[in-house]
Amino acid sequence: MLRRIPRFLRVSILFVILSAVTLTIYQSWSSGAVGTGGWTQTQWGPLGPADRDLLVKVRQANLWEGPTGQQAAQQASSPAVREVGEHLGVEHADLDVQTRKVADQLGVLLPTSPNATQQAWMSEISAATGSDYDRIFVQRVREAHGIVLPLLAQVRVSTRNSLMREFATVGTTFVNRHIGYLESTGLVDYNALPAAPDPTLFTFSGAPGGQDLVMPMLILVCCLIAAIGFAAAFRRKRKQQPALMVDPPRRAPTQPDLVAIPGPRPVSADSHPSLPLILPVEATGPRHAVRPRVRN
Amino acid sequence: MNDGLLRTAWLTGLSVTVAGPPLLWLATAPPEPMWSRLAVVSGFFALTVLVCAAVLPSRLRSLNRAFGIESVMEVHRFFGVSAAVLVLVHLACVLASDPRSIKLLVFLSAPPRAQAATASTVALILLILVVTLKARLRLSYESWRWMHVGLAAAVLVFSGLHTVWLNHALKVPAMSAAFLVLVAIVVTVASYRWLWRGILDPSTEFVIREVRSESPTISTVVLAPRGDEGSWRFVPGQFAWLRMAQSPTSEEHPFTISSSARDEYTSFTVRHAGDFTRTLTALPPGTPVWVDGPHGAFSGDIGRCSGFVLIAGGVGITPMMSMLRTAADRGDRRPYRLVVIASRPEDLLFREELGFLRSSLDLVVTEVMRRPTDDWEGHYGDLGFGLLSLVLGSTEQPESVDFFLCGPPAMIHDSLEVIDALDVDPGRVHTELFDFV
Repeated sequence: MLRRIPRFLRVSILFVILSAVTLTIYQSWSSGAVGTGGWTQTQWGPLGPADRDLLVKVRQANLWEGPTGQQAAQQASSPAVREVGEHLGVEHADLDVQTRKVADQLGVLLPTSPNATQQAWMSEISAATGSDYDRIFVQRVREAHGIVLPLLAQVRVSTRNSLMREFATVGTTFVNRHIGYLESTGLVDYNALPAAPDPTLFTFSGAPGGQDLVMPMLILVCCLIAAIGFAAAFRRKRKQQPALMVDPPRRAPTQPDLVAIPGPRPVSADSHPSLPLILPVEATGPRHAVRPRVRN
Repeated sequence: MNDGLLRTAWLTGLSVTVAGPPLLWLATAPPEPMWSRLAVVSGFFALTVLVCAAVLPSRLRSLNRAFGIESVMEVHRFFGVSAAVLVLVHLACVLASDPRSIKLLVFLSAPPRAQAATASTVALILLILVVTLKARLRLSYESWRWMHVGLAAAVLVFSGLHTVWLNHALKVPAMSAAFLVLVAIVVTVASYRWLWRGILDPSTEFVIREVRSESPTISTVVLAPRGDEGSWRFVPGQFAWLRMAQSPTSEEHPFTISSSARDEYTSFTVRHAGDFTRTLTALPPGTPVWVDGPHGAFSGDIGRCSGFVLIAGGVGITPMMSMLRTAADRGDRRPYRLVVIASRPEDLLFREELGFLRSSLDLVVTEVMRRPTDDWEGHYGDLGFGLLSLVLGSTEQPESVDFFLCGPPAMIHDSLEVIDALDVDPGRVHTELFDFV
């Protein structure tokens, strides 16, 4: 029993981990958020991963640009920026309603908070004051719109889904208009905007496609190899020691090694009484001399 | 509590701790992409497995009694390696969900949450290396132990900080509750192990009554609890850690109890193997020592046994003496077959007393000499299949006896091979290694 428990625990923990991973993959699969190759059929045509990704990205943009616009409408020092902020706040709220409606129709689950980078931008903007506030607000929000626009354009030109095509058109209009508002303030530093991707280099921008999986897969494989290496190194080390907790390999007693007991006494049933060298001591031996007294 | 129930309770507790938080996340999490979700799930598994790995070796008496110290340490090692593997899988999933997060690995420019993660991972990898290369590094046991404890504490603290600073899953109230439970488990167990048992608990203090010499290299130290005697109860075959100062940082070593469970005093029979045992056996009566115990499940009192084959090597006879003395005091009628394996005749201990115990117990003692002298008349060589069959044949029901093995690792390993060749139910084989760490 005792020697079996570690193996029981080992197997059950492995089982739980594998079940959790399976459950995770199943959950992602059933929610259509697998992110790779997950095409589903809808009444507006096939819905692909890039379509779902666009909805998620636009939703996240709404989640941070709307509140940031409202904040700028209050806090910006220049009246022009305050006005831009007000427009952004109102129009993102409008776009968000449309985004959620489309996502609902297509069965796409949307996030409830901006991503970590967007949250960092929000804190950066909130921390600034005066003309710095105006400049950082315009620059960051302009940069973010520049990220979403190509995603919208990609879906607009390649989606197989009519509802998404419509949504991308609407989204493109919104984003183009917002870029116009922001640039009208004259505060955009065009040199500080991210350069257009070099067409010869492999980049990670855009919707995740099959190609984008190469790098993560390589990293994943490296980490897994390291993990297996760890486990293997540990196992090798243990094999040098007596493997007590794993049952030793069962071997049939092919040849009783009687040579191991070449004692002077012959090995036979008759010899049992003579097995011990130590004979019973009947007299009042020295036991109590060497042992403390017994508690009743 | 009944031992079976105790075992079930511990297994349930460990399973819930390991699997609870990740499964709770799967049940309560907002929708997120597959790789992000896998990253959170693997991260939580790594965290819960780490917590269990920290709890296991914390000298919890009921845990050690339920499974035996060797099984507990074995599971501890398994959890440690699993945690390292899970951390790497977690890292792989984080990178797979967004390859740009590779920038987070640049320690100086990374945000605190990523710095904590890197620190924890590095500490965990160092920890595994220190354990794996223990023999090659030639560290003393004490420096190895402190390095292990220090790195483990760093791993736990930094992974906790990583979870808090990331503030991702903890936004879900159920998850922050689960995280608080994990923190509470670690804090409670660490305070119990280091603060209560290490410094405050008055029941750990004993005084030396007597030190007896059994042979030139073996002595018996007789102890009595200083305070309430009623709080000290052990079953024969258990062991305890002995310290010579009331501090969790002072040097300590595990010793098996050799006295009867019904004796007024508790004795430990120790081999003079180093400075610690030499100092311990030179202490005058009345000196206080601190005992953390009793621990272990190496006992005929845990579970049902209808007969015993006790195989002892060298000073490994101490738990057997405790079992035999207790059996004699209880008037036990079950068969006891003791096989003593020794290198030289002078290493045979307690011969006179064993002879005396034979008059009150169904006890047969078989002595096997590895390096016999010319005048040795008994068995010699290794404990082989034939000799063990002979020993078993002298019991009425050889198929229902329990085997207890205690001694050096090589002896236990060889004996286990012989026992397994006899096709004994592994549940009936109990071992106690001297070197379980």
